[in-house]
Amino acid sequence: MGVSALGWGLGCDSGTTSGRRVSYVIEATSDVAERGPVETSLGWSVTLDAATMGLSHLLFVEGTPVAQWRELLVPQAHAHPGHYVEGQIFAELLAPTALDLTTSTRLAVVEGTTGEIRSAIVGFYDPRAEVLDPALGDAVVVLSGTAERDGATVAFTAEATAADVLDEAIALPDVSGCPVSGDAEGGLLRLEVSIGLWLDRVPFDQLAGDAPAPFMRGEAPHNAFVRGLRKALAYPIEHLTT
Amino acid sequence: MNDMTDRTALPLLTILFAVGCTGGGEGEARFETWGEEYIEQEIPAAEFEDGWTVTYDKFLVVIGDVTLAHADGDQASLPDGPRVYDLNTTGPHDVGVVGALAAGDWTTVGYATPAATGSTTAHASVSEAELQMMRDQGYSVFASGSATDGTTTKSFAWGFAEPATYARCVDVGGGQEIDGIVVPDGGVVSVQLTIHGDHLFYDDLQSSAAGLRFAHIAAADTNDDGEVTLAELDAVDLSSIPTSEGTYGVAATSVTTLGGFVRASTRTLGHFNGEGHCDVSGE
Repeated sequence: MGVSALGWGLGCDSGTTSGRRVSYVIEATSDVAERGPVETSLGWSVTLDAATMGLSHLLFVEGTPVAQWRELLVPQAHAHPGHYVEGQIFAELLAPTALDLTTSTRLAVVEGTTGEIRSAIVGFYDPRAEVLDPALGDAVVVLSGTAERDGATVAFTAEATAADVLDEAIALPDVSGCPVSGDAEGGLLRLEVSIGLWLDRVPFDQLAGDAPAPFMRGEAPHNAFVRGLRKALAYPIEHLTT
Repeated sequence: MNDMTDRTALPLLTILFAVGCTGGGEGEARFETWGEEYIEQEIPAAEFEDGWTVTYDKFLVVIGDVTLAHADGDQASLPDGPRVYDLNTTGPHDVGVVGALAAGDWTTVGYATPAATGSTTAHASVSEAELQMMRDQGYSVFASGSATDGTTTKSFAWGFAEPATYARCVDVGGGQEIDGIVVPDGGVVSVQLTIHGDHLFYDDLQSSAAGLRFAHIAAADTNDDGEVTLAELDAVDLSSIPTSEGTYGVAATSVTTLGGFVRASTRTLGHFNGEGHCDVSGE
């Protein structure tokens, strides 16, 4: 079964193993919004001037993320590629939103059901149907800022499209199996997008052109950026009591 | 995933003596391990996205800690300690028998591929020298072999100290999911701890659209001596691989190199009765 086939077929009213109906507050923020400039593993300190993400949906589900166990937020994982199964959906946000990741945003209060939320599915908004936000244009993520290392400063812009983050298994621009920590009945679900992880392996020294230098498709910085966008660890979620 | 496997030939929960599943009697569970055709013979080019073929000449794996729990809470385990098997030799290989089990549903079945220690023993398929190597290095898995795309051939000999525990195994035979095994009254249920050798070459740790690839592994042989080492794989940053040439999706891990990716893949090897799956955890 496709990764999302089950998920899309199940709603909070699916009647499978649903618990009590409760309310969830859903918030989104980023590492940049919370703590300012990010440090990458290649030694760059990155300051963002703008960071916008087209969010299509957030699904909070039962399935356990596939993770590396020594470093984990969660202790278990299914062992087979493709065996991440989201299972029951406990809460979902289906309203497309242009997220300004330089600040925190309360997205919605939604009705869901109680249950142990172990992972989430983050869907990027495909802007081909309509323009969600002029800042995004045809992209699902747009960043601009400066990266500094050893006295060198590089101004950059970066964009990614829905095709860049397409999960071919489900034909959707989704990142599945994002880890959820904490537990509560209802409560707050807080997504903290890790822009640092998006940019962690970007070789800013390979950017060329007039400032701000764009991440050019097919070149190493854009490739590294896209790989960062696809990482489930870039979308950690805390489940807290409000 | 192993499409070469003849599902009908697998001894999936084979009830050797047809009897009922309940009634207060006892039965046995006979465990075996198998690497299927992919480990014993080859992973053919048709299975790879990039036309490579992989042939193992050795596939050592430590298997142990076989445990069962009955639906009513009783627990049992295989008395034998961890043992090294060479799944490149013709199998399936006997792992052991757990007897005097209450007939019925043993819904929680698991096993481990632990790191070899001084108390780890060798199956008949493994030489004393191979056992000693596994013990000395603390490996859980050692795989060696070669790969070719028809013009270029690369060898590999990779030892992995990546112990894993496979718990709450689920049988997916017969088109339905069954937790654990059913022990027949007065009979024997055969249980296979299946190892999928193709998983070392998947390009995604999670996606059901993962494909098998070797081209990037071959390209890691930067000294061009014909052998791809784990150290050479560690030098390949996944971000250098174009997304059009393999997703190399790392799921919720922090893997950044091809070496780390292959190591993480070793924890996707263990299965249950062919295509069945388990929850996996590390140590």
